Amino acid sequence: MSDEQLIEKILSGNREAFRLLMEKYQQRVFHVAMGFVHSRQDAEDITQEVFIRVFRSLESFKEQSLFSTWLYRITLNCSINHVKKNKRRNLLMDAGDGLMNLFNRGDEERNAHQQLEATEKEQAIRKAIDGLPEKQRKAFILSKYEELTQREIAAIMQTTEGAVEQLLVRAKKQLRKKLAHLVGN
Amino acid sequence: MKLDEHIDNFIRKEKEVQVNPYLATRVLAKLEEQDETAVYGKSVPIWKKAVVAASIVLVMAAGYGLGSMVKEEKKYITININDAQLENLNLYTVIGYE
Repeated sequence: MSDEQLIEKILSGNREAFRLLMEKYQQRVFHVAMGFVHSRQDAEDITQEVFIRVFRSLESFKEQSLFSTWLYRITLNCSINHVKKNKRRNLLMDAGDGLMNLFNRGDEERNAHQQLEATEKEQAIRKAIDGLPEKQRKAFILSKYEELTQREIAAIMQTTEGAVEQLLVRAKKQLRKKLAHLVGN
Repeated sequence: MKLDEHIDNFIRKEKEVQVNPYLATRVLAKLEEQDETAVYGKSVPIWKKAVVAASIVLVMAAGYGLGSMVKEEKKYITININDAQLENLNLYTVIGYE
């Protein structure tokens, strides 16, 4: 069943059609959310919020764009709002992770050391992605986590393909700069 | 290992995480819950409250008025149910009564 048919059914009160629509898109929404929050629990909360918002505002969806484009737009907004709302909590979590690493440094076992190194690398990458400016971050996540084309990203972000290309180039440059210490380790 | 590989590995790992299969059910339940709250929690408009209060006052006033009217027209019939005033049966048993 196409998105248009499903939307028509949902608008006439068919909740089962909404379940089908959710099942079709939930993994994509979840991936994008994971790109922003890197936590399963938070990504699920965002996914839930996105679909509730979709259901409530489905009447206002004008079929000038694809449903998926509209859905990704809502996902980006919800994710950014979630990140802003939980900024303080994330800072505390980062501080906690840092302390844990300090305590774990005393562990001399080889496996533990490798594990620690991998965790540190992951944290550095996560921090670098999170530290990207908002637009670069959106473009980067849509490109890497959802493997969308520049044209699709441009439609979602309501900008030009050229601008998306620029955002992606700048994002990669920033990441390279921030993560230079990982190369060669 | 190149930096791009590190980043790609990190992203691949995050993409391997699967969404909870019951998420759709959770969302539908949440929507239902919100709908119920919206129906029961809906505030009643002031004019409706005023109409209900006025109706109650009107009914009470009408009841009082009707009650007062009936009281004025009532005429009591005295019913003697005092045993002492009933006909004395001893009259029929007394010897030499007549």
